[in-house]
Amino acid sequence: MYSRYMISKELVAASSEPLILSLLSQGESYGYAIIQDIKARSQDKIQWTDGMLYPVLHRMEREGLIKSRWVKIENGRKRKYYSLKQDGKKALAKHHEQWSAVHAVLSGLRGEQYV
Amino acid sequence: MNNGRQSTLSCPVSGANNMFDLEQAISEWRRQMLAAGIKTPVPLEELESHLCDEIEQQIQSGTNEQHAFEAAVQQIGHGNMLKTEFRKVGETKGDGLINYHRIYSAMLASKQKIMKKITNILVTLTFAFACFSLWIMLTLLSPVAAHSLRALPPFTTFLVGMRAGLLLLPIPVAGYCLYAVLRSQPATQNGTTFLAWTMSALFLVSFPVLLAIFLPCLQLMIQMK
Repeated sequence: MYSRYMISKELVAASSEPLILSLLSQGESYGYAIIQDIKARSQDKIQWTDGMLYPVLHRMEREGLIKSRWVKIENGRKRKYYSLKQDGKKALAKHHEQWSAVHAVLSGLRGEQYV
Repeated sequence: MNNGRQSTLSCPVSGANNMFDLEQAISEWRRQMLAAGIKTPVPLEELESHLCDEIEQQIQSGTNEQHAFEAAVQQIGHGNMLKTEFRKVGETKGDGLINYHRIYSAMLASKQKIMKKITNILVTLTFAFACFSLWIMLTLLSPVAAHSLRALPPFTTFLVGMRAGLLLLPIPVAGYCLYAVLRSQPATQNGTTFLAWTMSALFLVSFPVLLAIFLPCLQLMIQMK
């Protein structure tokens, strides 16, 4: 399923929450757009499935990180838009801090290999 | 009640006159999802909205309705797989135990938060009451100092004069308590720090005050000897 250029399943799962929070920090969005946005930004290296995204979105909503609202669009269709809550902004800041720490260690170790 | 026979969302149609009935296909897809245990309206309505978005995208790319529908259904996945994914986070009908565990955990965390707030309020009230009691003790010594033939020990006189400070001490403690009660802090944080600081402050204040009260008594006992 995953090509050698794609990010591992475990890392995709671990990064889903910070990526969703980061995307929603730029404005409200809906499931389909979130998947497409992540796919485009990662140059197809991260391909979320619907079965993965919606349970995560619903969990995050239950945890009070994000909120949702149904919006009527053209053709009388409805879309569920998600947006960040205050706790979501705090969680995003924490994620940034933690991922930056991991990135710094990894970069440092990689740098040492070439010394 | 929606029984899955009719779609609640209106999906795009290409306008092409073919044998494939998109609305009918979506209704059938809904029925299969419901049969697999995907609940309605949540999350089925949202999945259907996603399905429509995917179909719309496929049609815009030039795919016909039937192929667009088939590709979108494949993209979303089978009902059983979706149910498994939702069950992992505790959302489908068959996950009662997981949900009860989550609700119980949430209740427990909420209870711990409330208990911690009540404890902080009790500690503050105890501290304030203790400070007030010490203030009363020193205030009772005040007329003695004024009418006694013999002067009170200088340390006692000093503390009697400074006794108003005892009424100011609970203010910062109450301020911190109010801050702790109003902010939404995790229940897992250690709440004994506030108790330790408050009781240490109380001990540091009580000891000199009790000594100041004891000194005139000691003086009296020496006189009576």
